[in-house]
Amino acid sequence: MTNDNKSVCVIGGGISGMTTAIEAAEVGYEVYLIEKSPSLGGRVVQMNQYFPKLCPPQCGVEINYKRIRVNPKIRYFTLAEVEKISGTPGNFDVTIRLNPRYVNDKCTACNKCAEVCPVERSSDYNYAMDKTKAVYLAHEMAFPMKYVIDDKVCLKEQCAKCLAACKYDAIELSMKPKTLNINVGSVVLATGWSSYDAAKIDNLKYGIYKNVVRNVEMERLAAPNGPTKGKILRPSDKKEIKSIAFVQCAGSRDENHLAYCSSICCLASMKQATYVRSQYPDADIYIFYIDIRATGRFEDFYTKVQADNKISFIKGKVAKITEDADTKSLTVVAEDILSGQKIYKTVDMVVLATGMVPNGIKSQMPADIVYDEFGFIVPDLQSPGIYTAGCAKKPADVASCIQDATGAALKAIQIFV
Amino acid sequence: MANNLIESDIDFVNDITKLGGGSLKKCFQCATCSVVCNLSSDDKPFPRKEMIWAQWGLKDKLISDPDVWRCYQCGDCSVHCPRGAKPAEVMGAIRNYSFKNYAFPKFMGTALSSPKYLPLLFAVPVILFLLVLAHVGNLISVPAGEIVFAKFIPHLYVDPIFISVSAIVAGAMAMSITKFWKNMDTNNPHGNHYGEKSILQSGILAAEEILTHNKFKKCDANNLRYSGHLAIFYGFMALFAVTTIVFFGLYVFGLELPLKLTNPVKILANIGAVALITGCTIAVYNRLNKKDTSGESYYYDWLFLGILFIIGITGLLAELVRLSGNAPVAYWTYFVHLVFVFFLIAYLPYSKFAHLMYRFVAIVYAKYAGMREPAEDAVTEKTEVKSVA
Amino acid sequence: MDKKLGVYICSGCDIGESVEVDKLLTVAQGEQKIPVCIKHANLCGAEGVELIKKDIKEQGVNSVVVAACSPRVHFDTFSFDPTVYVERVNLREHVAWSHVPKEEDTQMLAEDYIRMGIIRAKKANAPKPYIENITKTVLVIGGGITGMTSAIEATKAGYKVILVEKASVLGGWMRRWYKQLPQRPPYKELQDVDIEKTINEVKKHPDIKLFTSAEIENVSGQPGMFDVSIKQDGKTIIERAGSIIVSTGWKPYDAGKVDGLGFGKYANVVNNVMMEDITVQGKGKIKRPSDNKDVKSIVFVQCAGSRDKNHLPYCSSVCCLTSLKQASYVRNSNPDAKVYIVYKDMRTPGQYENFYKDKQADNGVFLTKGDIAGITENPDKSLEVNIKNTLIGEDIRIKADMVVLATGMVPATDSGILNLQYRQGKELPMLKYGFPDSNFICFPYETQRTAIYAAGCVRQPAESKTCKDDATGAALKAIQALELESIGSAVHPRAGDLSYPIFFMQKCTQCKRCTEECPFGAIDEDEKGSPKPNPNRCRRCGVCMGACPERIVSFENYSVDIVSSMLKSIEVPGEEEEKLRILALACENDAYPAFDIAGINRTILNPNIRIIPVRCLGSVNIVWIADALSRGIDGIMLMGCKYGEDYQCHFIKGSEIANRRMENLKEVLQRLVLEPERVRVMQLEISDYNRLPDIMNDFMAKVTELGPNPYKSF
Repeated sequence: MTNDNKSVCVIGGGISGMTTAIEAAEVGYEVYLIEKSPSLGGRVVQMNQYFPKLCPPQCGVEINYKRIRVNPKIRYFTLAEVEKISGTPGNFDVTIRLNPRYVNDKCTACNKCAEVCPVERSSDYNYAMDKTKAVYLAHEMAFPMKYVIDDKVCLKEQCAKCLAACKYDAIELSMKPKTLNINVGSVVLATGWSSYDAAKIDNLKYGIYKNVVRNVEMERLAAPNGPTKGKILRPSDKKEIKSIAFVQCAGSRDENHLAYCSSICCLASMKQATYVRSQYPDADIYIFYIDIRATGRFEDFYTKVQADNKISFIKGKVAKITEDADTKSLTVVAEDILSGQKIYKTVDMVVLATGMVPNGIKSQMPADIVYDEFGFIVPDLQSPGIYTAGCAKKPADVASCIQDATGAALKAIQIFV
Repeated sequence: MANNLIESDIDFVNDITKLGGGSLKKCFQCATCSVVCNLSSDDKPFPRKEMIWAQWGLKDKLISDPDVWRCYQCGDCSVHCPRGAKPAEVMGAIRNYSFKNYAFPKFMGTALSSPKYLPLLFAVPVILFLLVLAHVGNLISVPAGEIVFAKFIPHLYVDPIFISVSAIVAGAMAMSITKFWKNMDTNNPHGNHYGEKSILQSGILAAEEILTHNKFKKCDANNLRYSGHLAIFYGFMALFAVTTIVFFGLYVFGLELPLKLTNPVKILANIGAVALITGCTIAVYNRLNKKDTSGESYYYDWLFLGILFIIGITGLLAELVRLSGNAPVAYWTYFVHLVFVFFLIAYLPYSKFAHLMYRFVAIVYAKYAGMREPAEDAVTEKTEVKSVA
Repeated sequence: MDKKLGVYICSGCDIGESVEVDKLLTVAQGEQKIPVCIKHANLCGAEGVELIKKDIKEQGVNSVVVAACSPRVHFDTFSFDPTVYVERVNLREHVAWSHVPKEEDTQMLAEDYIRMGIIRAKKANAPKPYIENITKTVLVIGGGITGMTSAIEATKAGYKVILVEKASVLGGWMRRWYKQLPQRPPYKELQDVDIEKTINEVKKHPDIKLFTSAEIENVSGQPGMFDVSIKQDGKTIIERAGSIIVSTGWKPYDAGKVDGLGFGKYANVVNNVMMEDITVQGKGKIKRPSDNKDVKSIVFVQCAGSRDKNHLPYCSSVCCLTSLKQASYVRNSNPDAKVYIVYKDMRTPGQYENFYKDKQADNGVFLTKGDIAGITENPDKSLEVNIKNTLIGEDIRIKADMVVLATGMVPATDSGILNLQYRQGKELPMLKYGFPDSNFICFPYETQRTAIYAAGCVRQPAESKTCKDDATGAALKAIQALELESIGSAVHPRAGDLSYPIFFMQKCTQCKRCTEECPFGAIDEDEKGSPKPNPNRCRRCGVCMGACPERIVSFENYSVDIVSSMLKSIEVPGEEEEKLRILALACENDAYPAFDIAGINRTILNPNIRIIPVRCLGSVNIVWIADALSRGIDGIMLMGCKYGEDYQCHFIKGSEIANRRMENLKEVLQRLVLEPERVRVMQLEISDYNRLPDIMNDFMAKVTELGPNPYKSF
């Protein structure tokens, strides 16, 4: 258990993982931050604004990037996946697979490669609502600010146009995966969440009707760096919208899908209602819900949104959506429970408040990871030296995740005492 | 204050739980059920409101709610229910409760509600028919010669038995229905809007709805259930018609029995029997294999289905054996058949068979009281409801 | 040590195609007389970096100006020996990528940036930290579940703790609970309260110095060296602590204030805390208070005072779970009892949905949404609850033996906790409703008093599981503050910053602006009104520097003089040239990166604007405005964060203060016959990069309309 190497391995470079890493490093411990995608930042950098302040997530992310920049104790790896962890608390051997970026550290992010790249791919950052080149920057604030090549679509040596275009020798089409072995004292799992696949909810017609989108996609539609440059336009014809319905608990609190409450969707929809409101002051906005869950001071936000006479809250779950074949407008049906009447609202667009699915961990671990029935990691039941932070352990809002991730940092460094 | 004093009846909740509504407490009132139900109207749709009434043990509301009988338990609601509260089954359980609740006399309701009384219930027709056999001397040996069932148990005995039983049953039904109608009239959650249709008009419309099964057809989740029910229904109606024709034929026109196989009435009878058996087979298959949509099956369901199935099979079997010439088997099969027919008819108002009358009455009432019908493929903005959250 | 500057200009990444690099070299070499001036086509490449390193080693260059890309990238590439000062000039994002190439205006912009960078490198020094001998002990105030958890967790990380509890026993509210909510999967069954174990652990812990029946008299000093005066048994004990966790918990809302609920009036109307007491007293058997009779029916009234603008406008988060828990008590006490729960919204987030589902499944529990229209008492002391807007479809009335009001949590902050001997108030500033919470979603522990953190229900209403997590987080921050202070570093959000404000006291006029405006209460006053800075309380925002009319406050690497000199180095074309010059003082966390992103997106911006990053708009000294205007600069934009209720400024009021100062400046400008519109304070978010061209052009149009600065010709 005695090991001079007082370092922590944090798996997941989203807001929770970054927080744990930074907080531990600012106490003075060495941290390895492992992220599987090309940039740190995770889900929050795909958000337009945070509730309830309606402030841009990039602001806090920028501070965190800066904290990482100035802190030599944090070593981060993107496109990296933990393959295996073995050993004992205080002395874990972590095997990390570094997937090839095909772009080396010489990259200056000058964009010359992308200018000549002939291949396109659908953007995962924008949930496939637009395209990037095969060589691309994850987003304008990508950290590290390095391009990456999507090897699933890149034509590699057959094309090699980027190779010629790059003045800095940064393209390495023959880059191979590498393995990195590190020794750490403790491990924090901050593997985060994914949005529920709404296509599984057959009556809500996601993936069938074009104007039915998920809340995560709505964030991109409202974001200045999204596929529509921040203008909320309906997908079928890129038209401005006059009315919109938010369908709460789309999959969540549903035994056929996610039996737990995803905690944040009520607030997310209210927040998105404010997006619509600020872009389209005359639009009619309907929020269909079972229970509005705005705990603590989030209630203030609910009160504020509720006071808006263009936003109607209807207690009753939307269970049926139909599409007008010509106009592509949608009619949502619910029972307005408090009046005992079925209610039909024809709207331009429908946003499904889909919930959070925990990503869990796929790496080989020194001991079995204990999950609850929903796939969330149970923090108290893990073997010593393994800790959990953020949405890997419960569905939660950003502030709660960060609060939790800060606590996880303390747990992770206690092993060194 | 004029608010209604609510007294939750835990016993009622427990009863509903036992009668097939075991999942009712899971409901969290999202109203998915009311929306996915193709039979539910726009005004005060079911079964969301019935679910909370059931959860709260509000018996009076439920037993006088016509909507309980406008549900065909097709299972759309149960399939989509996010909590596994199975509203379809709860509605079924409430109907089961109603059989017992409206039973006249009361003890008959109790007798049909639990398998422990089953031997007693069967003992009545068995003893009755055995006494007849003993009286006519057919108890020890069956009549010789051409197999004619009337030789075994003569019409002279059978018909008066069934006529008097039917009369008693009709009387009991009248009592139950009167009470049911009165309850609906006082407690109808939709409020009464009389005057649109007369009772007669309502009755005709209700009959049309039942005969065409046009509401039942709207079920999405389990279409097989609709087919099964249709087969049973028409099989039964055919057999009922045959019985009526034969009865009148016998006494009015001196019809000779057994009928020839080519006789149109006989053909109808056989088709009816086959339809009944086929329908029952589908129903049994459904109940065993499609629990997600059909839901769990309970005593009321199995008893009724079993009786019908056996009636169909024994009827057909009796005919086939008769044709094959095996007199003892044929006669005793017929005996069994009669016992089950007796069971069906005599206990009609208390078994699930009674759903026929309650449903019919409820539909008549609904039409008479001006209750809304479900919207036809409603996609247009019909109601403008500004909700107070 | 004498400064020897080296200027390194990169021509890569379109810079060479956009501006004439040689001319930039001329500016550095000829005009600014820099001995070492080199251009390179790929400065961030191995060869370029080697070049700089070689000059540091062989030529003794100790101040490096890297004129290349934004400081937000290649930060590690261009960091050398810590004694070498590095200044980054953003020629790529702020010039080449956001302006029309090869134009005179673009060239002038680049040249100005080179000048400003060189001036700054000349004047700024690598800071030497302020280090005091600090105590690595954490003070925890409040011995409930949160405080005890914080204490234990901090000791586990190797720190000593002083725990002060007002009551004679530890354990807080939780000690009074009959059962607690499930703490682990499947989140269905109630758990025994296991707080005695924690209490014993705290009591026996060698690293926890425990004071019960004790209160804080006052706290003086600064982080790392707080002198804490504790009052116990009439005696005063002085302890030294380095950081503080406030976990004083909550109190139930006085339901007597809510009309129509009968609390305090009817014997059988109790609150949810009393319900725990009743259950504990009856050892699980619930008897109604009026006559000790078995309870056969009970109504739980949710949101009794919570979610009500006349009482507690917020949701208390735990009451739904608590009532479901207590419904179980009643049902276990009497299997025939009827339990009614009347809620506004059933709030059982996350996995606690399981708890809701499980407790609801009981045939004797009846739930509905509804509004309480009133509660009345019958002669037999039973109660009638009138409920409107139910799910039943009608207004209803329920007769009950007892009513439990699910009253909410009020943060225990109304009476003093810390009694800080700070110039700016004795307690942690409240965010809202008495919660001393952080205003930041991204940084929930970013409090307004350095090294003092709130945790548990005093910060936000929460169940015990969340409180324990929160307690752990706060403990981390408390020990982190100690570690950072011990090396002389700022804490979040400028962690790692070793600079601190230095006061040139001889020139102080005791105007008190710095002591009043410091957002963190870092500066006290002596009797004469002279500032007494406490560097360990300081967050290094520079608001004091901006406030000081005498310019006596400065940091080694950031001062009034540095920025003044920078903006004075801007070449202002004469009036005849018809080229306006605009200065933008931009918040370095939001506005500055927004310009970077505009560059990354190749957004074309107006070339007449010169951007100087500032730590916070609050650090902007009016002198800069005066200097700029007297230099002939035509207009000034101050780009800061949003202020007001949902302020985004991490130094609380930076942009608000700047705005106020500029209001005051208007008069001065008018006296000088200068239009106040030449100075505009704007609130800008990092995500506003798409709006930059419009924002800039709009201001430019205004200034064009006003005409050139009349002071140009002087």
